[in-house]
Parts: sequence; C-alpha cells; structure tokens
Amino acid sequence: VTTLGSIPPDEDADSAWWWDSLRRGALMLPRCQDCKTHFFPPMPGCPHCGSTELGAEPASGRGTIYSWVVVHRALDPVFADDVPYTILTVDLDEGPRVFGRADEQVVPAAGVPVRFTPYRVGDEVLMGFSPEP
Amino acid sequence: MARRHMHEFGTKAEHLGAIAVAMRKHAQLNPNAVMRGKSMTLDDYLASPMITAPYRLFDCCLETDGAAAVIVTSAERARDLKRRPVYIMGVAAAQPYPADEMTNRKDIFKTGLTIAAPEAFAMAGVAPNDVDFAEIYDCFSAVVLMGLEGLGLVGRGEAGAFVRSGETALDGRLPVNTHGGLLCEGYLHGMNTVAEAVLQIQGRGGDRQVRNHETCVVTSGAMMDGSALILAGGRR
Repeated sequence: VTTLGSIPPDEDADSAWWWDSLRRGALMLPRCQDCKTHFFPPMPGCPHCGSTELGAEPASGRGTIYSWVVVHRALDPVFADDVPYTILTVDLDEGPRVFGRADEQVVPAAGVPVRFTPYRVGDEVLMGFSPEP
Repeated sequence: MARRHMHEFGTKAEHLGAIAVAMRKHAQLNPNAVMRGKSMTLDDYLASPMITAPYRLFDCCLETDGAAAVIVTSAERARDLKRRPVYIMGVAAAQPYPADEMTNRKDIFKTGLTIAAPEAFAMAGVAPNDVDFAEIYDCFSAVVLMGLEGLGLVGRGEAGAFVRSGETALDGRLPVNTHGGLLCEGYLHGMNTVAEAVLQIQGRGGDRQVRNHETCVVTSGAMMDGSALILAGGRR
C-alpha cells in the first residue's frame, strides 16, 4: 500500500495553499495581519481576534514536544507496517501547536526540542519531526 | 490530552485503569449494560491490548446500537405525572477560547466545561460540593478526569487519585457513572447518561441505586466544547 486510501489530506478552499506548500517541503503558518498572531490550521478568520485580514509566513520549523501518542493500531493501511509509531503534538516557536509523525530518532518527552521534516507517504507529504540537534 | 495530563499531574495507567474498573463494576448491576456479566480487575485492564498509548482497549468506549429518551415538559404538567419529576435546575454549554481542539490554546485543560460549569451551578443555585452524584461523559477513560476537574468537583490534577481512592463507587462520597458509563453501559452519545441521572433521582436505579439522590450533575463533551446540566428532585 503506498497511498493514503482512507484518510487523504482534507483540502478545502482555506487550506489548499497550505497543502501545496507542504508538498514543496515547506511548513507555512497563517498569520493574522491585525493581531499579528500565528495560528493553525488555516481557516477563514483568525481564531484569536476574528479578523479576516490574513497572511502566511514560512515557519521556523522549530518547536518543542507538548504531548504524544504511540499508535499500535494503524488508522490507515498505509501505516500498517509502521506500528508502533509515534505522533507528536509540537508547540512551534511561533506559537501554534501542530501534529506530526516522529522519526525513529525522537525519544518523546514533554519539552524535547524537535525540528520539522517533511514526512513522505507515497505521493503525499505530511508533517514530520526529527530531533533538534 | 491523557498523555499531557500524565505529564502535568503524574497521572498513571493505574489511574485510568481505576476509572475503567469502576465503570465496569457499576455495569455489573445494570441490566441494560453491554458489559454486564464481564467483570474486570486492574490486572485485566493492564493486560488489555494497547490501541493508541496511553489508551488501552478498555479506555475506549463501546460502539453500541441502542436508544434512550427523556421527556421534557413544564414543571406544572410534570406535577401530575405518575413518576416523581426531575427538575432542570441549571444548564450551560461553552467552547474554549480559541474554540478548537488544542492547536491554538496554550492550556488545553481550560476546556469549554471549565467555562460552562460555573454558569450551570450559578443558575441552579448550588455549589459543586452540593451534588450527590455525577454522570460524566466518558468516550474515553481520561475524559472522566477532565469532567471531574472541569466541573470543579475535585481540584485540577486530582481526579486520578480521587477515582482510585474509591470515592466514586456507588457507596463512595461522590458516585460517578452509576450506569457503567459509555465505557460499559453503551455508547449512546451521552443520552443514556442523562437518562441514568433521571432514573437515579427518581429512585429507579434498582441494584445500582445510590443512597443520596437529590441532586446530580451531568456533562457532555470535555476535551473541547463542554456542557453541564444540574438536575434535582423534590417539589418545586
């Protein structure tokens, strides 16, 4: 199995640009142009102040582990050979909290620094994280 | 959220297990419970397969076909009914700020329930300490922790130890999920949890009837959006 059969990325008018940038290997973050807060995921208005004046900026890719789970039953057949694998919840330095696959070098614990790395599955790209040296 | 609760408050698998075991015990006294006749020890729980750690099989609620209903009418009409009326004393629902699961909130334990609960208690004119028992939405075991803490029935981070101490048993200080919860009665999306509160207040709990059953708090949600409902018996 090489494609995300049951759970393809949920692209819509608000997030297509974000998925396009991820496929190019870049992690972007929406940012409110009024209150200047970064947020995630992409949506039509700022979740902090409600403004619709939104922009996008490249994220530093750096963050720290907030929490994590270890998956023993794969959500999609494409991940079946990977179990058990770890999904991290990462507080990015810019503020928003995102989710991504931990590579095998990550030893998960709260506060551990990690760095964004594109995680490739077949012809899709998802968020992944490696240890920050 | 369960893992983060473990990190911040020292919650352990044995605390989540205590919830699953307590719900299972209550289900043994409930003729409607899917898990009736299937008792479980903490060792059984710890030996159950890991699904997504820290959740094992028995941290996850059931998938159940079933139905539950309550009839809502005016207090005036309810007075003439054959059954003892149960009064809606207070109700509130809220979203956290910002209103999302966890991607933009610094503190994920500031859930909608922490906003809704004080409003519901104020509307009812009772304090968290005044409730005789609680029926807490439990799609997963750790949601009981968020429910007890979000309602203010225990302090933040204290729910694991509280359940493990036995205080939430049918004869404890605060019986919780007297039907066995969504974990063990069945997953009717919490409607069965509302119905259980009504049955208990009316004294129709059968073998699982709690001794003090005047006032109850019911929740729904708890990880993001949350709601609290205060129900009470008596004449009004």
